[in-house]
Amino acid sequence: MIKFEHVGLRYGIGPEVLSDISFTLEQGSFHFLCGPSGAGKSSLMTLLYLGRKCTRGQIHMLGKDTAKLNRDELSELRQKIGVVFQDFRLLPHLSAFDNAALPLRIAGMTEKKVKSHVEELLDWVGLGDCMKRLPATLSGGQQQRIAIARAVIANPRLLLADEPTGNLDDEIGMKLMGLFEQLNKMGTTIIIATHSTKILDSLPHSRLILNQGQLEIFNPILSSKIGGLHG
Amino acid sequence: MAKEHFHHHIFSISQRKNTGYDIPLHTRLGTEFLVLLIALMTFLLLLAALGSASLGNLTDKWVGGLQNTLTIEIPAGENTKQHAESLQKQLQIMDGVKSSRILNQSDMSDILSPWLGNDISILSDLPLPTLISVEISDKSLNIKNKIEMMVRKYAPEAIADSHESWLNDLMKLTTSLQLTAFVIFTLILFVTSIVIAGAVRSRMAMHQRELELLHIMGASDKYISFQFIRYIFSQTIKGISFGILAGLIIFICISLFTGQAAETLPAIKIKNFDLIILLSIPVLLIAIGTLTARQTVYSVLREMP
Repeated sequence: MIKFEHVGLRYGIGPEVLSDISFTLEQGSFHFLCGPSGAGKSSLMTLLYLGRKCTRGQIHMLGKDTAKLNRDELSELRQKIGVVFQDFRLLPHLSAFDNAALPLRIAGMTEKKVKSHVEELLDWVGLGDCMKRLPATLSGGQQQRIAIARAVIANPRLLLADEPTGNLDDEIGMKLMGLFEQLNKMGTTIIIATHSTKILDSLPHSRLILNQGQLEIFNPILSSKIGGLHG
Repeated sequence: MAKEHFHHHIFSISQRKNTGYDIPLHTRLGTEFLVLLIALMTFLLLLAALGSASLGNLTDKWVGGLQNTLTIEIPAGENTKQHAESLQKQLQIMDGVKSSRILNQSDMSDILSPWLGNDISILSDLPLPTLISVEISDKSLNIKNKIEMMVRKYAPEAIADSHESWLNDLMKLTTSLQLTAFVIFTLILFVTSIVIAGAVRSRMAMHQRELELLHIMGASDKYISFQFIRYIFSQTIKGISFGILAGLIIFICISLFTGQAAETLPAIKIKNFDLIILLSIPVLLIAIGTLTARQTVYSVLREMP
């Protein structure tokens, strides 16, 4: 469960980029995060992946009050969150295999298990023959698939994706959404920040709509049908 | 042709071996000076330790040679020979005197040859004092005072020199030099620690993006710090190896030089304690390097949420 209570965020002494955000997401729910550029989507995503502390309010992630966790506990919590960045953030000196393997190595998995997991997943995303290649030698779409593989490989309880289909063609984009749906059915909470009306229209999931730093609207119709979102 | 070259380049990049660093610390980004600096620090530490050891040897040699001896100096004059023989007779029957000997012209020549050359004929033209070398067997008998009293009685113009004040001065000098070496030793270690901390901070700033990513993915401070510890460890090992090599070359050169001038300079002899100090230098540098890296990484990471 993810719970935001009157959460605010400001950078330095600047104005609040997020103001009084409150919502609750049930475990295993699926949401889209929408809103115009500069609305605060990235800031909200940053708070969700615990990349920054909120300047006011309380954040409960996966049932834990993040303010009360020590550094090691926060690290453990972060290991349960997968993130797909819009700019992929692949490590350029590591091969596709090693990039995808990072979360497993951080979690302390044995190399034997890492190898089998990574090979299986890279095969699944169609990069089985590019495992030893460095990101710079891959296309944008291939890089994005590695970023997605890296985000889902450790079977996270929460998956955050920022414009995950931005560099993919429609077919692979929909295949990817299918993967997210599959993960969601296995109990993973999914939040996808997207502008794609095609995706938004094709999938009947609830929407968190940010505008000027405030969570102004959520879709009450979808919400009431699907559940999992309480403003 | 250009396309083929490009593909070859891409292939070589794609086949590059994984170095095991999640953070690209193996790349050359201006911190290679660390190896040179650690080599220099190792070399200076070795010099300080060897200098201190040879000072100890020098003191031991001189103190050991003079501690139980006393020299009676009878100025050149009409009764010199007579006074010397009287004193020698008394010394031979005195309790606490192990041996005594009037130095002959050959002994004087040996003493003065570094300054006057090997031509002993010149000595007969000089008003040289007569020297009696006395070896004391038991200091507790207050033998020095007894000898002084005897000298006053049988040769009032003579002086009994136990070398004590000279030895005390020498001891003070070597102790202060050894203390200076210790201070230099400590300072070098301190400076090494500061430089390593600076290099780690600089590397962390260069790889801020990678650090943030690992942090977001749940890498603990321990996991991240291990990468830096491994990097500093490898740089320290390289630096120590170069430093020891340079130190060995200097050590061999000094040994050869002091071997040639064995009369005036003490040879560098490494005793057990010195060996422990020398062996502790790499261990200390590695310990300081890795601990500094760890603490620096932890303090920088604490600034992250």
